[in-house]
Order: sequence, then C-alpha cells, then structure tokens
Amino acid sequence: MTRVGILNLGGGNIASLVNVFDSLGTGVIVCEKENKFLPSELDLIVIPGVGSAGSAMSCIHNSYFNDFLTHFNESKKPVLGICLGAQLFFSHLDESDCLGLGWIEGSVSAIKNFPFYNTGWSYLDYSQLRAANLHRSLSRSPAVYFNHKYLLPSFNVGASSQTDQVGSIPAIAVRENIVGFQFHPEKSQAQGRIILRNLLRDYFGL
Amino acid sequence: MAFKRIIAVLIVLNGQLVKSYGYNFHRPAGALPTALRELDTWALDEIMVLDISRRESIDPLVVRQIREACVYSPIIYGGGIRDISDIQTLLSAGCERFLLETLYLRSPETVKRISDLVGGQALILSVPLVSKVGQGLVLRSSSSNDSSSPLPLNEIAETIAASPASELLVIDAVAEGHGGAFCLTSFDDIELIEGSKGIIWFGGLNGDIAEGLLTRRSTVGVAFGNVCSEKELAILRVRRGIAQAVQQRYLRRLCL
Repeated sequence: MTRVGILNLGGGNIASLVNVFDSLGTGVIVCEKENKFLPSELDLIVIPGVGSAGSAMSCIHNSYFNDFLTHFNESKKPVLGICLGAQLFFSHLDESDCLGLGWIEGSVSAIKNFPFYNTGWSYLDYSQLRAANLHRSLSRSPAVYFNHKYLLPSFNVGASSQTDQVGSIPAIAVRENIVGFQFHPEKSQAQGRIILRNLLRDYFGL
Repeated sequence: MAFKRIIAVLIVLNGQLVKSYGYNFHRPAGALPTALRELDTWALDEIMVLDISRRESIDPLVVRQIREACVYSPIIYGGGIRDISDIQTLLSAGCERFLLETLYLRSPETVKRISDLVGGQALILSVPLVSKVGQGLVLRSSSSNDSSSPLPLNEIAETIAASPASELLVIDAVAEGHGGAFCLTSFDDIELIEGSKGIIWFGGLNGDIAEGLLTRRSTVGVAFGNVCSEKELAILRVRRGIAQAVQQRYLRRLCL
C-alpha cells in the first residue's frame, strides 16, 4: 500500500486531504511537527496549503520538516505541493518577501491587473495534461477549484475560463519528482480525485 | 480567471437543517449530512453551511455532521465563529472557507490573526442589509439582544475594505426566503462596497435576478438557500436555466 504523509503546517484543511487519499486506497499519515517521521516510512509527501507563505516557511524551518523535505527531494522521492504548498517549491515568495524551498527557480508574485482573488473553477488544458501524463479518464475540459492570489512563476499545465481577463493561469508545475498543483484536487470533486489517482499511478508509478 | 459560482446555502437552526423565510419563520428540511452529500454529487460550485442559531460559539453537532458527510466540494461555514480555535475545529471537519459575521466589526485584530493562519482567501464577511427610511442601507443586527442603532453601510464600508477577507456575502435580509424579492442593487449605497472585494449575493434571488447579478463586475457568485432543500435537483434546474440565459458565459459546465 502506498504510504502518503501530509505535513501539518497549521492552517490547512488536512481532513479533506486525508479523506481523498484514503478514498484512493493509500495509507495516510498526518505528519505533525512534534512527531518525527523518517523519509523511509513514506512513499509520497504532500505539502498542503492555506495560510501565509511566511508562516508556512517558518513552520518548516523551525521543525524537522526542513531536513525531512531536503532528504526527500535529494533522494528524488515524490513530493506533491497543493496551492501554497506548490508555491513553496520556488525560490522567492513575494507574499511574505521570504525565501521558499528553492527547488525550482522563480518568484511567486501576486496576480496583476485583477482586483480580486482567483476563487472558483477553471478548465485545465487537456493537451498539456496529456503531455504531463496526467490525463487518463479525465473529461476534455476538466474543471478544478482554485482559491489563491499568488501565481506559480512557471508551469506545465495552464487553466482558463471563458471569463478570462488575464489569460491562462498556472495550474500545475512539474519537475521530475516534484509536482505542484495550484488548485485543490481534494475539493475538485470527481475530476480532482481522478487527477490525484493519475498522479499516483501514471506519473509517480506508486 | 475562475468562473463565477453558484453557491448552495444549507441553513441550520439548532442543529437542524431548515428552510428559512426572512430569518423569522423556519421549516424542517431533512438531514444535513444527506443534503451535503447530494449537493456534492450534483457538483455545485461551493456549499455553504450557515448556522442561524445565533449561538455564541460554533455548534459541535453541526461540525460533526459536516465531518461525517465527508464531501469533495468546497465547504464554507458560517455562524458563531469567534476565534482561531473555532477555525481549527472547522478545518478538522473539512471546511476551508469561513463566513465571519459580527467578528470583523467587534474584533478586527482577531480576524487578522485568523487571516495569518488560513489566508485571506479563506475568509468571507457577512453583510446582511436592510433599508431604513432616511438612512439607506444599514447592517441588520445578528443578535436578538443587540438594541444599539443599526450601522449604516457608509459607516462600515471602510472597515470592510480594510479587512483581509477576500469576499463578501451581501444578503438582502428582508428578501431572504422569498424568491424574486431581492432588491439591494437598486440602492445607490451598494456601490460603497462594490469594487473592494468580490461579492456573493444572497437572499431572495431567482434565476432572472441571478442572471443580472452575474453580469456585474463585482459579482463572484450568487447563492441560493431554500431552493436547495426543495424538490430533488431543483437547484440544478435553476443553474441550468441561468447558464442557458447567460449563454454559458460566466459559469463552468457541470460534468455529471
């Protein structure tokens, strides 16, 4: 059974992530700051995201999570970041003017020329999903749920809607063992669960 | 950016799902977990659980029912949120967005602390409005014990704009429960809060009114209450009618 560890950074909806991974037949462990886990105990690490970039990085730096994540990445073990968790992969986080994990070069900046947060549903680009090997069993316009104000600086799969005022927005960033979802697959209903299943089975081979 | 949203509002009174009429008259409307699962299956854009019991704290019975429903749709919870511990309890039940009622007026510093924990994108401010002769739109009191004068919208507009919350739930508190009676946008005052944050409109909407609201730049969503507890799939029929009328411009296509 695939063992999935979800880092509890304090402000995320861990419950929904536990439910969705449980529904996919994986073993799920919530990694608290106080209870140290070894990288060998887990097959996939999930960095969830809600809250501020600064407090999330502070939580990582002030706990065993820092060494844990470094070891996971250097040994090329699978890491999934969701929303803020995906943004943490990059080198700089404008929201809190702080450094991210630095695994991918780039600066996470606020959405420009748009007064509100990007909250709601958009369609992922199916051809880009196919190129990333995440497309199996998805509809041709899979809609997923976003809720953020800052953008991934580089991406492999974009998303759009007919109301688009700023063009395609970054939805998925991929680099070898690291995958970042700007959207929330655990809240994207059936399509979200299928994307997670594709990630585990087709991309990571778990 | 993202499509605009149709939001289903499940109204809860003393732990029981109800249909509400002007917040004064209520009728039982079934079981909350069942309603949550049905709406999840029908793939609405967001589901809001709104506790109108006027409690001083969140209701553990309601929290347990949300947890038990175990849905894969975005859940907004409103009613009785007072501090960070309430937010953490609701996060553990599967909610990720939170409707703040009086808290943003009584304790903006608590709202700031909550925002530092979960982010502004997780917070929505409740703005229930009624019109008063000579005063324009005023905030409807949420406490039956509150005898102070109602606050005019122009006095709270700055507080609303300065809040870290991302969106507003603007409620026509008189029209609530009476489909077709919504009329807030006919008041000039409403422009005081349009533009600072995205607005979700609620209270007395029907399909025609929702179509018009979706064309407003400030609108990020429209919310329906009682219709969600009516005949099965009623809310989907409303949604389909709106989508056809706006030629699918503002709403995502449902994949059922």
